[in-house]
Amino acid sequence: MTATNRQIVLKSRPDGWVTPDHFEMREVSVPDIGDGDVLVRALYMSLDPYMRGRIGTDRPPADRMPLGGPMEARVVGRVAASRNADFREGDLVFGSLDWADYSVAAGGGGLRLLPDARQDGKPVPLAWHLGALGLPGMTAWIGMQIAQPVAGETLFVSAASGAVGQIVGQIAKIRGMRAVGSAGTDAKVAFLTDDLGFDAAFNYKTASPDILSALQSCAPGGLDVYFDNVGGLLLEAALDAANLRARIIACGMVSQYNLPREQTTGVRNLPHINRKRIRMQGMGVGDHGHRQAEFLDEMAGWLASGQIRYRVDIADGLENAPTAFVAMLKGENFGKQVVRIADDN
Amino acid sequence: MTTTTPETNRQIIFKSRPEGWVTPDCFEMREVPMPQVGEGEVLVRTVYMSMDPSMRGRMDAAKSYAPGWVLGEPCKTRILGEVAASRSDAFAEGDLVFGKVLDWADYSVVPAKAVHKINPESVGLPLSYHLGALGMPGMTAWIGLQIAEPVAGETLFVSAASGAVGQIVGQIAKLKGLRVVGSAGTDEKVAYLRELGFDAAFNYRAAGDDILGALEKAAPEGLDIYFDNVGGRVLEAALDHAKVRARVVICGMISQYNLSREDTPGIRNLPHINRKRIRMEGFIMSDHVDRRAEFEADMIAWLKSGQIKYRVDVAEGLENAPAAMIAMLKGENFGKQVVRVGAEP
Repeated sequence: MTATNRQIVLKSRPDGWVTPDHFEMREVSVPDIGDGDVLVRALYMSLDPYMRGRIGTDRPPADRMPLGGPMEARVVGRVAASRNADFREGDLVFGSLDWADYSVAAGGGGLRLLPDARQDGKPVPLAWHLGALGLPGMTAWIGMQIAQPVAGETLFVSAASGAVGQIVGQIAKIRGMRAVGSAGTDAKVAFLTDDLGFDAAFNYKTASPDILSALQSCAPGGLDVYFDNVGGLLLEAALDAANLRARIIACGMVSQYNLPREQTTGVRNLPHINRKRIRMQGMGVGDHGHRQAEFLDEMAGWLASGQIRYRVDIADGLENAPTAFVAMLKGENFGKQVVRIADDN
Repeated sequence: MTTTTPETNRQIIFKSRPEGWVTPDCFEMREVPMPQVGEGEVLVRTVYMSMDPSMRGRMDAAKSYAPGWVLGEPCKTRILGEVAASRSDAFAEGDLVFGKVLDWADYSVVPAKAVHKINPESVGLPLSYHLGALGMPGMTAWIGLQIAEPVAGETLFVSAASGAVGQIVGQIAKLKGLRVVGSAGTDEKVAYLRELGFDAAFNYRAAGDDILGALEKAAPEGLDIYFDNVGGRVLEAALDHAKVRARVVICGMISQYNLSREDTPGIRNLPHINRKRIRMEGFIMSDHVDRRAEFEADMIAWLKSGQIKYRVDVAEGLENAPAAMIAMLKGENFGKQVVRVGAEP
């Protein structure tokens, strides 16, 4: 094959805020594939906060994306060529692939066919396989199991209109909880209560610096579960508002990822963990991969019944992926952030 | 009432709430007539009085798990004493009793149900142990280690390791086959930890700004469990040095209790909880009182066999109790802090 392939590679490691200059696009040939390999034409690619951790310097070198190599992302694509009996040309697949038009899944590694999932009788948008049916959805699903929710309890989730938060709040409602969310614009707040069925929501930016009061008016009975996607001042407010024996799911702390420690907002009220007997549990969906089939089954059911709805924010074009990534880390996306590389549907 | 009971009683009164550090001005001694013993009540002569970090929380107007002290009334604490007079069938003059909420005083009158006789199996062990190894601190260590789910061969780090709780934590952990590391605030305390069989120990004050360096040297393999008695910078270092799936048991955060929120150094590396899937859990012993008999059986056996040793720091005289409390909050005690108010029978 002689067609051209565009890839986005990591040019330098950020220390502090990421900028589009940390990335660079290069053109290479679409690679040939060997026996067992699958060539995938990318259609949608997922941008996730965890990627920030993998391009910086605060992780062990083995956990970092290599400099000069293509960035990795979860991708939904179509098989362009296959020398693997499990995949045929034209199949829609999901895999961890390059930020690129084309990637090779060596030996078909990590690829899987998209599950059948429908809403309102129609197949769900392809991008949802990177969100509600992908890593963010499964993160929400696992986190909500770790939280051991009880009907009648109150849950608070930050970054509630984001990739994970939307699902967390809607699972909480399915479990009979009162769901409270925070987001960074009034439009997102309206989306939470009007479209997703949250009981209450607030704009943490306009509430600042008195986030606690905004949280308390949304959750006058206090918090039994806090699903933390942001850390920092919202975590501090949630600890203040937590009830006895509250559970905090530490899913992500996106407010902290771009800051060196000296500039990081320390959390100053951890004695509440002792006084209120709080359990704070960090989680990574990677520890629970064996439960994926169970997750997909339950989520597909919720999507089909309309109990879970989902919003994606689509940036167009591979070349715009770095800008979209930076915007997402700043909370400028509205819904799960994906990049449309091509859509052949 | 025995003929030796004096006509007046000395009490230490809670005079004013501290702002920040506790000072001697917060207390005042007064002499009052010896109280009358009503029907169903006992008069207890104080022998040992316990000085506990949780008392700091009782001095604040804010709600804590410990009921607050009332301004103008005697300070309260855990006491080991002797029944001086009884109008209850359950107690006779001369009985050795323990009570959770008695006055800082030579004598207290309380309903008979407010005290209980000491476990006869404990005869022969020092009476002050009922406020330490055999009391709330010992049971706190015993429960906290169960919450930590230790596995033989793992490494545990405990702060304030020569204190009331820390000594027991380290020694139980050794009995369970863990590698044990402790921190304390003087070289003498560090030497004592080695005598107790700790595998390594360090002086966090001598380590200055590089607590992490000292911890890494003491536990090059990383931490599976951190038993936190202090919070603050030591907690931050422990999170830095924690292994994947570490458990952080929050027993207390004495370094934080005397600080207003503005003055509290925040914990800046909580994203580790997410990245390393750490479980951080707060607990208090009184949630687990139903397990008291099981604890006493374990601990009495360990103390009698010499498998667990215990150091008590005795301040002499009721009048010195305020100074002893302040010194304890600053870490100037060496071992479990008690005040001897009256002679042992």
